[in-house]
Amino acid sequence: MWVIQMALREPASQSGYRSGPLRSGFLPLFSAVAHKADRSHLARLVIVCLVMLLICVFLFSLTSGASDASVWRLVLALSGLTPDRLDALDRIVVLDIRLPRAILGMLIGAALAVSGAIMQGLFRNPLADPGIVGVSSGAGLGAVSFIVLGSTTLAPITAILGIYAVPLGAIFGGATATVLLYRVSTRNGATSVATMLLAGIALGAMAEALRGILVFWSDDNQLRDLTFWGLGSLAGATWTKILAAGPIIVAVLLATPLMGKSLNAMALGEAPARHLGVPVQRFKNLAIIAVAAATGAAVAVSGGIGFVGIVVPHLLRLLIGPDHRYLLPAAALLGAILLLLADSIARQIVAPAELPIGIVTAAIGAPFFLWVLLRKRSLLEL
Amino acid sequence: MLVAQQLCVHFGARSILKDISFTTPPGKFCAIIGPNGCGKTTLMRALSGDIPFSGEAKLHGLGISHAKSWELALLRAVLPQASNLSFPFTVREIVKLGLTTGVAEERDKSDPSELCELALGQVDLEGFGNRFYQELSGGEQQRVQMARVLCQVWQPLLDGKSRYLFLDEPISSLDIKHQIQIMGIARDYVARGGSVLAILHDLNLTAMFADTVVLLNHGRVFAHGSPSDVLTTENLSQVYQYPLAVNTTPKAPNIFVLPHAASGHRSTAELPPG
Repeated sequence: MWVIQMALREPASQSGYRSGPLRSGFLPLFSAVAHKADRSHLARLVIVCLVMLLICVFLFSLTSGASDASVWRLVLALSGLTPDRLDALDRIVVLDIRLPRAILGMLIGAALAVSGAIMQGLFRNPLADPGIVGVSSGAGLGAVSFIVLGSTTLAPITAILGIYAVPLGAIFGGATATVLLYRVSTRNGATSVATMLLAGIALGAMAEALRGILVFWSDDNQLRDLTFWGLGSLAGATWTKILAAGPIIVAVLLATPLMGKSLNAMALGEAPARHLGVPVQRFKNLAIIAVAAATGAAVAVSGGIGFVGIVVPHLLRLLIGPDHRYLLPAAALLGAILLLLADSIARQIVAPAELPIGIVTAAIGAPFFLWVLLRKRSLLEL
Repeated sequence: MLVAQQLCVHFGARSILKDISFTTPPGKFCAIIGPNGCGKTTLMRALSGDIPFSGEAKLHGLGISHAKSWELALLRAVLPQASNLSFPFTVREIVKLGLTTGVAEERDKSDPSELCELALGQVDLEGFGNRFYQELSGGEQQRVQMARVLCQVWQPLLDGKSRYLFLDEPISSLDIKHQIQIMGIARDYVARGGSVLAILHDLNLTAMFADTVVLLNHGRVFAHGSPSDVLTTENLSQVYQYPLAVNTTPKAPNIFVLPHAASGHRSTAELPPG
């Protein structure tokens, strides 16, 4: 439940972050007209709606599944309102299978959507997405390195990091890819879209090649781990995984209110942002670490789940505009919602078996990406 | 007080600015002029803290090369030459970005949205707040940026220090009415205690509005002083490598430069038939 509390806290801290005057001055007529069309009100409303929707989807994902375990009976039993004893099977299905899975799904969806939104703001272009430009591949390489070499070459590091070895390896890989990509595609504070996409392909291919070599080296047991991991699935969700990735993702989500204003200023370009007082270099470092951390943590526990990072921020920009102070929390919420829904589809479409969720998000996300590309074609010709 | 001392900028082996030294006292309108490629924008970028330089540059005693970006942001706002935007922000959202680094007390005193509308009114864009920035014309976009910059340093004085407007070709894509309007805003800012450093190309408007002029040529200060001292037939003809003639209006001594009056220039305009 703490995840919901966290999700609820976000919009609250956002409205506190923005000082009052916007809501107060309705006196002059022109200002009243101006306020009416001000998108910040709509944005707040959308965030509130998303919070409610997330709660509904969360409860839905706890109730739905191959077993008919009822979440209502569970809630009633846990709250002590009814004298019924809790069915042991219900308890296991809901508390040990569905609940960790739903929480992990929300965390990963939020992480992927927020890292997409931050990256698009940082690169000043709506096509940047960790999955498309090779950051996820870099993170994947980092994770695979620890899965395969964790007990041999990298054993000393694994011994220190414990369950955090794979997520931290993924974060390191993601950060390396992001820094390289930024260095390659940004000159004089302007990012070239074409260079970024092409460099992303090259970086992704390199990471995949190295990953292929590692897979080639791995033994049967590791190969089994890798296959399950690489499909992009929430099926293996456990409380341990939540413990490994959760704190990192929550830390990034809590840092997003610090980034909204600076990302808005960055939309003008690096130099104008600096002139507005944004410590650009420090901010870029923070943003790159945030993207790498969120992507890395998500990739480490769920493999490759693509396109959430591009679909969610884009839809929200159409709806509430590009103001990152609202876009980032809204993206976290909508990302969580979409991933939970995609997971429900993945679980039920071929029940009692299940589809890897990465297939569902790719099937929905890839055509969407093409559509964005067609609409933004002029951007690519820059 | 903005002081540059022996300021040099190198891009690789190429030296762009050589030994630039000048001072613009607070409460003045200082114009930087010179031919294309003489280093005007590079000088502006160095003084804005965007590029590394050797020598010294100080804004009210604050070393520009190692000051924190927010310290500088309180003292000066920079109007870029051209800005393209990555996301569909509205005009009001852009102008409000100017309030990102306002001083706390100043922001509390005045309603930010009201300040935005005031600034938009000043640049003759009243009612444009909800339009998308990317849908405006180049000149309108330039005026939106001007409104944003004005919002950043709305009060010309901060703790008794004169704040600076750095304007890189603020009127380059404006029609004549808006050119004079924007120059008027800058002039008014100076009258209220602020300071302006502007790169200009229009010699006549420079003569009309500037208190001091820095004439750059090949990365060096060629002349520095009042418009009447700097804008002379000899200086301009030599720097622009084109025969230009500077004249003075008969009544109030205003300097003007008419291309037609250039010596050795022959009119290419065709005479009407008959």
